[in-house]
Amino acid sequence: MTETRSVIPEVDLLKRARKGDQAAFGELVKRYQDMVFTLVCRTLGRSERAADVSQEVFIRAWRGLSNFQEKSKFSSWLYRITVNCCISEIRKSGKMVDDLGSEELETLRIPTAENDHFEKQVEKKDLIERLLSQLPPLYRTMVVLHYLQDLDLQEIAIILDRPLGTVKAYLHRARKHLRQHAEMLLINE
Amino acid sequence: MDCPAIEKFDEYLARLLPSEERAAFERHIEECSSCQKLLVQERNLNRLLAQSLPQTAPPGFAELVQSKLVSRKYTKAVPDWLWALGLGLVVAVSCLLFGRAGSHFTEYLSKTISSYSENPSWLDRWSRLESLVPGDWWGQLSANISILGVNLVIAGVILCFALWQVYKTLRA
Repeated sequence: MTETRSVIPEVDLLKRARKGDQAAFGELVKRYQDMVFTLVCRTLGRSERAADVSQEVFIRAWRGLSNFQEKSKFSSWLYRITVNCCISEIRKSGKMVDDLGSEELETLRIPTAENDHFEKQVEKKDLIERLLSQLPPLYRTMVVLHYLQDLDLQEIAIILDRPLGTVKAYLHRARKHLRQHAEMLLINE
Repeated sequence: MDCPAIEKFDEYLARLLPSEERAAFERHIEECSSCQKLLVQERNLNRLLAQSLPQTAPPGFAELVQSKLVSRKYTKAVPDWLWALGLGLVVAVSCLLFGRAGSHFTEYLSKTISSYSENPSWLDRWSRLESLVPGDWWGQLSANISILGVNLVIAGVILCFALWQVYKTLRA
């Protein structure tokens, strides 16, 4: 029987991968590689280590597949591994994961486009990326999980092992920072 | 309703407002032009984030990961079935060795009990254990079927359990 890649359910791939089927796990990697890479890139804030850390995420997932409880979502479990790998990487460089005083947010200066006309999409994207890069890593992680992966705050709190109130507060601060410095951008959209 | 705080806009867009609060918020938005503009800006921000955030993994990434995967058969230093078998063998050997050390213990026990018990059948039972003196412990054990039988039963149970674990692990 011929199976096309697009129709193999994830639960079947997981079952096969748990028995040691590397091809099945490879299919899972293809489905989640962009998501993991995005989360790693945005959390670490730079891309030169992103590929290595992303690989480490999947290798850890492969090794720990027997510990995966099928009652939870595979994506949430993978996100958790991704966040842990990113936190380890950040701590190696001696940086803090979520430490940001409110004073620092207010003094950030964002270079804007020359005439404040954000006509090119790449300028808008570049501005948002620069604004994001100035947030602490954990804030960026929450922004990606909520606004790109569309996870609700409770799920993010579980993945990051933080109280729900902390997730809400961090996301609110991140939005406030983005909103204040990209106001012209938002009005002109 | 006064204009809601900016946090309410965040919660509204994140679908976190309770239904009554959500309805009140929507009613206010319909009537307040400045809040309508603010809601549009917040939606724009969400859209910009969704557009700006995604990254694409480098070409060949999945293949590279796959090439680094070690066969899961060897990811554990000691497989589960080996642990189960080893434990079973350790317990079985311990039970057999107990037969040797047990002879000294039962001798002491029989003497202690005999000094208290007056029941002849009880004394008879323990006198059989008393006959196990140090020395030819295997010969004496084999002569006393009851002790050997108990040990063999215990060892058999443990080995069956170990074999069952082996079967489960191989089947998984």
